[in-house]
Amino acid sequence: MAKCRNISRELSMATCVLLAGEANAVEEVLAPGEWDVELAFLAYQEKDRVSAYAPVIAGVYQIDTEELVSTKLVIDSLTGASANGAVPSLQPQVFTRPSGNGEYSTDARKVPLDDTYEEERVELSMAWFKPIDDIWKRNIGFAVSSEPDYFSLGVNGYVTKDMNRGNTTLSLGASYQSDKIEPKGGVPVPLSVVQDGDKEGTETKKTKDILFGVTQIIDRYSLFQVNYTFSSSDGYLTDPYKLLSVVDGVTGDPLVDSQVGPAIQPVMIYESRPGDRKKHALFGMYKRYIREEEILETSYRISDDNFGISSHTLDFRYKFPLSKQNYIRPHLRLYKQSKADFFQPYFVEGREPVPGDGTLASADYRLNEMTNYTIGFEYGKDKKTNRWSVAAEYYVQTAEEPSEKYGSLDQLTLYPDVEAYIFRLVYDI
Amino acid sequence: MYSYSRKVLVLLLMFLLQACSNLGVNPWERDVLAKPEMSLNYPALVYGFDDHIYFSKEATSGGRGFAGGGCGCN
Repeated sequence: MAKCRNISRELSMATCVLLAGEANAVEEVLAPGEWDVELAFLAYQEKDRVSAYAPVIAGVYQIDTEELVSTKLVIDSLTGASANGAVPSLQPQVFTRPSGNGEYSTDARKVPLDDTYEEERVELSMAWFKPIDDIWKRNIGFAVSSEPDYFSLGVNGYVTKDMNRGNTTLSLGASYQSDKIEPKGGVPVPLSVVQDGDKEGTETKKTKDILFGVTQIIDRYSLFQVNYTFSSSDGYLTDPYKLLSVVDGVTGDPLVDSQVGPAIQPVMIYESRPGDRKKHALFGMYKRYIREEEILETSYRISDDNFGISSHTLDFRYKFPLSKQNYIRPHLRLYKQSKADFFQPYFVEGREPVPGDGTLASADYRLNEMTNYTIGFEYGKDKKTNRWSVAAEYYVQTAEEPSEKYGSLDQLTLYPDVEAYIFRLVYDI
Repeated sequence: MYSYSRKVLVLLLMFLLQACSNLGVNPWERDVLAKPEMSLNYPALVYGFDDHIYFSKEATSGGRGFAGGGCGCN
């Protein structure tokens, strides 16, 4: 497969396609009329919780020397159990499924997991890249995602400007996404009691992003990129499947709605999140060719939003050649976030909210203060054709236990570590 | 904290733009940067997988690209 080389064009195209995200898998410039197709497979397995399997096919078609179109199809299959937000108990617990049909149970002392988590998601994205002139370039794309309870349609676009003899590229991008949420059994009334069954209808969410970036060649062996992103979401931001327990003010035991054999069916309340979210993120990435095909890549991201969540992400990869084509690339990622202002592990009896009183609360562990680590290795073969790689990674989320635990809650772990194993295969045809 | 972070981000970007005008190479010195693995979006599918996993499991997303997730997994 013949390849063309024009570094200034590649820098601009690489900037555009990186910012456009998943739709553009351009890694080499093709000759006009040529296709580049990649196949990939992701397997994600949490210990005793969620499993996800995602085959992917991505293709790039070079229309002309300076124009290309790319596309990507993803099929996500998710199964397993996900924490529903309820606290563990010294007794086994039983919960009604979100659809209202049937129940699921949790053993004593275990974090309640909703095991009805099973669905398939299909995502298709496409993008078109073409220069406007020698200095200005543009990229326009769309993405559509569909799953049984969630539909998303988005469009995005970028313009880039080359400066400083092609050593500097400025980027400006924007995206708009419209989502429809149709949870199983209907949308619950926020803060309503689960047992009351107040659910109906669907909801929507709109997300607008704007991005400003600078890509810069430093010297013959290195370059970096810095992006600032502002994201604004409005509409239904609550998770319709996440709940909060109501616990006794003295014993810490969940309030009981009914007894089901040896198990209790606790009183549960649907969570409620704000109706808008505004996020700022600054991302920086540095790549350097060290020697003899050794490549260092590192990135850092800082983020802040009006949920009260701030985070830091440090990512590090280093490619070591094992032979002329074979390589190994270790990966280390460190992530730390603060908890959301409205995060709380439970309500105390007598102080629980009522629908419409404006209370914001969620016990979703993903909004808790947490420190996460990823460590893994990628092994692959770099060739002009049929390039491939495999990777195995270990990911662990360590969350903070609430400081305000008391009674029976003091004997329980509300937010245990969540461990996951990631396997990845990529093959370039 | 929220408005202070925004001011820091804007100042940092202005500094970077000024600093960039003094960097770079001549066109005949870009042989190493021409290697596919030196592209900033290489490997693209790997970044896509990572973004999707961490969007589903953590409260922060985006940075490398847009923050919107397009799924009900968060």
